[in-house]
Amino acid sequence: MNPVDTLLIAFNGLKGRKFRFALNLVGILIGCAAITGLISITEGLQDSVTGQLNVFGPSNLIIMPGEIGSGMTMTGGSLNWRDLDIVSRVDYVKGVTPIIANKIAEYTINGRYFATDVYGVERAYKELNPNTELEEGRNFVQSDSAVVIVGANIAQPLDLDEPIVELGDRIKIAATVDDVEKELTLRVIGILKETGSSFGANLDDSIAIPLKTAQQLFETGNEFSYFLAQADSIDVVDEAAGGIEEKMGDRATVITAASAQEQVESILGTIQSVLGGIAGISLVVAGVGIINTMTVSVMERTKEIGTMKALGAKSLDVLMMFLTEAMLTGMIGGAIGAGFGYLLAGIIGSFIDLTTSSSIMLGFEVVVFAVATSIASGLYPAYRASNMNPVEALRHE
Amino acid sequence: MTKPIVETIDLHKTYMSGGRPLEVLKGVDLKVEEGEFMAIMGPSGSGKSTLLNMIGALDRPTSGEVHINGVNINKLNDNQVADLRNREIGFIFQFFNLIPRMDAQGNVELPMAIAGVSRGDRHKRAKELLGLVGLGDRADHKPSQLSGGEQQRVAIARALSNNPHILLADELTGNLDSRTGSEIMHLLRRLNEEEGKTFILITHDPAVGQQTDRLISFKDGIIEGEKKFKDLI
Repeated sequence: MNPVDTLLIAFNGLKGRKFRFALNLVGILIGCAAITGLISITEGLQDSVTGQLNVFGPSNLIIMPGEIGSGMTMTGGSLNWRDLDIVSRVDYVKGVTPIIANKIAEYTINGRYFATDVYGVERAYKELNPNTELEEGRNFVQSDSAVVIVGANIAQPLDLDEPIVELGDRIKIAATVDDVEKELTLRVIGILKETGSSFGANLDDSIAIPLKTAQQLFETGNEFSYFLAQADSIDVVDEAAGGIEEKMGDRATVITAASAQEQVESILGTIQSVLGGIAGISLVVAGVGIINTMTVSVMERTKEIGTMKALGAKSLDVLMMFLTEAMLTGMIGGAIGAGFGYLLAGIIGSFIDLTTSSSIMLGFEVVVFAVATSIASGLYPAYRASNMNPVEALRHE
Repeated sequence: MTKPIVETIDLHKTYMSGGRPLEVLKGVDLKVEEGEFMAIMGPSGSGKSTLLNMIGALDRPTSGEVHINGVNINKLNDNQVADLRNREIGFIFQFFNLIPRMDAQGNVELPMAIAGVSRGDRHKRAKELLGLVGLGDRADHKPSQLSGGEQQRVAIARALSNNPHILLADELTGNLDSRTGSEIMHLLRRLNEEEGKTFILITHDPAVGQQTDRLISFKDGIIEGEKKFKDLI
């Protein structure tokens, strides 16, 4: 039988049992919508994280104290000047600078209260971090002490039209250290360009003060939060990271853009496989539904199959007829499901402010997957139909 | 003498029934000439339907041979047998066996679709055949919208669609009232006389049997006797 006729007869067969066909369709559709939506969202997340990591700088390394266990939990430790010296001597490391982070300062401007992250950094920080471009003013110099470089959102909070902090202004910040409140007046010497959120820091919403000033203010002694380092080139980042890890042993963990991306991808991958598994289960359930309805349909049409065979239909014709019915179910359900998936991803994406990644290719893959699932499900009932003895099939009531 | 269009040689068929072999055909030797209009009559359970299934290449014998147009169907594989059924044999069933979702036109076209006849050709042929059986104006009716007699006419048109030489009918009037039944018999006779089709009918109704040229009585899996109503030329 010619494939077009097989298709028409199969289509006719589905039309004859619209309700059951619709139920099968819904089964496939839900699975496909879930898979499409899910992949669109996680790919979007991945794109967004990759974007942030690229801002971080591909040849940069962050050296964190302690070990990062599974699930990003940190296990104790701290870094000191001696460690800085060790890291600076590792091959392929072009430069390294210590950072004091995770500190909060409070201040009041025009009667409005602010609390912000404070970083204690050296002059080298700006050179090693490709993100720190000054809108106006200058970088720290060795002799600076009571000065501050502020992020773009500090100079002009997002809800205001006018800047509230300008070059040369003085800000009185307060910090609580061991339950004692300390105050310090700082002169604004630089304002950073807007950078967006970058790995490890949101520079737009924070302020930076000289390292020594931070050490005194927060009484951190000989301890640093982490180091920022840079490799000689992108090509030797892994060598630099390996060298540092070798020298520091389990007292430090080195994060590179690539390793961070791997981490993020493995977390996203886990999320994706868990949710994908759930979506997959729904497709399996849909497949079982197809097996069920097709088996019933084959039984109901036993006499019809006998008639077809008496009229000269070959076993292959009958097999193809039923497989085509299954394929049509998968194709239509997959296509509608993928459409719903895109829609779903778009809606969720707009809620969590994420640009989802919905490629045409993804929809195509989902449809192929749905068709494969449907055909696999239809295989057994279709085989049963094709293998029927025509005499017995004709006798069937 | 011309070569018979259908010939069975010492045909045996044994089914397994409840774990025990049941011999349904016990050595049937039958010759049917081309253009014959004949019937096989016998009580139910005599094995006449099994014989028809053998002649129609729907089933294979346990032993013995079936020749259709001089070809021993035992020597054909399943696909070749399907082709034979499609092109050389037309089946007409007691319960019509039309595909309920397809209209009369679609049902008549089905064997041609299986044979791979082009859409245009089979459309034209189906129209002609429906006209021939007197249903030219019913082409777009579904089986459920047709009377029993009309459905049987559609089934006859379907059986004729690939222009087979042999038409096999199993109790074709069994589900029709006597008037409709005799109309159908007249239609078959006309096809036999005008188109030279060979008809083998299975019936338990003597009235049907008497309208044929040759009546074979069948009992317990063997041919019991034969009556000729018309001398065969």
